Amino acid sequence: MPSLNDYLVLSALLFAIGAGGVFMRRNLITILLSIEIMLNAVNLTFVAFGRALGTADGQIIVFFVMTVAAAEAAVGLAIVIALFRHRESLNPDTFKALKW
Amino acid sequence: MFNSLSAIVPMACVTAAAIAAMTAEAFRAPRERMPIGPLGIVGLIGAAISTFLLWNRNATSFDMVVADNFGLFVTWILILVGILSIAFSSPVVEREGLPLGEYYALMLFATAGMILMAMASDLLLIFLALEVLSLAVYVLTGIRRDSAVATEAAMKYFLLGAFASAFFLYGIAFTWGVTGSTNLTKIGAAIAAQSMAPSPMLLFAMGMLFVGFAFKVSAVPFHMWTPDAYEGAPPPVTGFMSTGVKAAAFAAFTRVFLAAFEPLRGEWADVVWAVAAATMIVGTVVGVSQSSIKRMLAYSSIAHGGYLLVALLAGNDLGKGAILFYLATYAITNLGAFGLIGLIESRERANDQISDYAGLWQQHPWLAALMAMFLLSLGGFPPFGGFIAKYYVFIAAVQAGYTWLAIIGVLTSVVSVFFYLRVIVMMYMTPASATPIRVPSIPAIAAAALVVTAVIVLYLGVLPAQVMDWAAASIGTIF
Repeated sequence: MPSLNDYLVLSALLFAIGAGGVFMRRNLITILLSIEIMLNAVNLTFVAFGRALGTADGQIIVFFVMTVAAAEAAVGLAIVIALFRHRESLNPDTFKALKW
Repeated sequence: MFNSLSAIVPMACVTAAAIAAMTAEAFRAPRERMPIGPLGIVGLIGAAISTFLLWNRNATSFDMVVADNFGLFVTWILILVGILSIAFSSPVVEREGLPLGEYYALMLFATAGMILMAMASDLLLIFLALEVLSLAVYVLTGIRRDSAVATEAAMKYFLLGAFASAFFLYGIAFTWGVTGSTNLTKIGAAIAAQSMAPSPMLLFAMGMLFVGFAFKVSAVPFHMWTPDAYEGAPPPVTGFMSTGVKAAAFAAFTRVFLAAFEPLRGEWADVVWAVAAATMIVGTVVGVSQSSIKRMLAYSSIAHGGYLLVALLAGNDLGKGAILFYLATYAITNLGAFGLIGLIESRERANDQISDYAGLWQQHPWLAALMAMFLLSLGGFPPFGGFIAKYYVFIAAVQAGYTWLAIIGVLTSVVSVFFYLRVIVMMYMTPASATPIRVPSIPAIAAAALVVTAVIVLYLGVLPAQVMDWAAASIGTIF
C-alpha cells in the first residue's frame, strides 16, 4: 500500500517534469502539454492529501482544476493557431518581434 | 434567505453586463454600431452602487466571499478602472476594427474576476478568480489577431501566466494538505496553533503561493512577460491590465500574506524584502534604457509594484492604508497615461517611440499638459497623487524599521524621474519632427475620461485626507 509520501513524491516528480518541459521543449504544443502535466501533478497532490485527511474535498477540488485547465487549453490553443497563421512555425525561438 | 447573496452583488452586476454584451454581439448585424461600451458602464455603475450600499456591513456569502471594507475599497478602484478603460477603449476599438461585443465582454468578465479576487476569502476561490481574470486578459492582449506582435505578446503572457498559476495551485494543494482548509481564516488559525517551527511543507506551500502572486504583480525575477505583454496589447488594454490585474492581485496578496500567513512573518519577510528591492531597482534601471514609451511605462509599473511590496512588507497600519492609497493613485494615473497613448496612436503609425512625442506641445498643448501631469505623478512630484502615495509608503517603511528599503525606494524614484522627464523634455523642448503626430478628433467619452483622471490625480495629491481615511477604515476590518 503506497503511503501519502509516495504520492507526494510522484506528483513532485511529475510537476518537475512539466516545469522542465516548459523550458526545454522547443514546440509550443509540447509546452502546453507540459503545463497540463504540471496541473495534473497538482491534481494528484489534491487527491492524495484528500485521502490522507479522510475527506472527499480533494476530489471535488480536482473537478474545479480540470475545468480551469480545459478553459486554459482552449485559450492557449486558440493563441497558438493565431500565432501559427503569422509565423508558419511552432518553434518559440522564431518569435522574436518582441525582446524576451 | 437572499441576505447570504448580498456580498456577490457587485460581481453579479458586472457579469450580467458582460453576458448582455455577448448577447448583443450575437444579435448585432455586421457593421451595425451598438452602444455596447456604455452598456458595460451601466453594469459597472450598478456594481459601484451596490458596493456603496455594502460599505460597513461586512456581508459574507457562502463563507467564501467577504464584502469587508478592504475588499470594497479595492472593488471601487477596480470599478473605476473598468469604467475608465471602457471609455478610453472606444476610439481604439473603432480605429482598429476590433470586435465590439467580444472586446467589452472580455473586459467586463475580467473586471468581475478581479472583483471576486479582491473579495475572496478562500484560496480556491482566489485561484478561480485569478483564472477568470487571466483568461480574459490573455485574449484581450492578443485581440488584434492581424498583428504578429500582439499575438506573440499574448502567447508569451499566456505561457508564463499558465506556468505561474500551476505553481500557485501547487501552493494551494500543500497549504490545504497541511492545514486541512482552504479558508484563509482557518488557515491563519491552524498556522498560529502550530508549534514554533513551521513544517517544511508549509514553507514550501508559502513559497509556491508567493511565486504565483509575484508573477501576477510582475515582481522581479518574475517580470519577464510584463514589457512584452504591455507592448503588444492595445494601449487601453495595457492600461487595464497594468492597473486592474495589479490591484486585484495585490488585494489577494495582502489578504493571504498579512492575514493567513501573518504568523509566519519571520519566514517570508526577508524574501519579500529582497524581491521588493530587486523589483524597484530592476524596474527603474532597465526603464531608463527604453526607447518605446510603452516599454518604459511597463518597467515603471514593475517599479511601482516594488513600492507596493514595500508597503506590504511594512505591514503596520500606515503601510496597509498606504497599499490601498497607492493602488488607487497608481491605477488612475497609469490608466490616464495609457489612455492618452491610445489616443495618440494612429492606424498607420504606432507612435509609441519616445521620439514620436517631439513637439507634441505645439500640436496638442492639452494632451501634452495632461501627459506631463500623469508622468510627474508617476514619478512622485507634488502636488500630484503619486507624491502623497510614495510619501506614505516610505513613512510606513521607516516606522516599521525598514529604513534601508525606504532609502532604496527614494533613490530609485529619483532615478525614475529621469525617464519620466525625458518624455516631458521631448514634448516641450524638442522641435517637432518632419511628420508630427496628428491626433484625429477625440471622442467626447474619451475626453471626459481624460478630464476625470486628471481631476482625480490632482485631488489625491492636494486633498488626500478623505481617501486616506477611507483606506485606513478599510484595513481595520480584516487584520
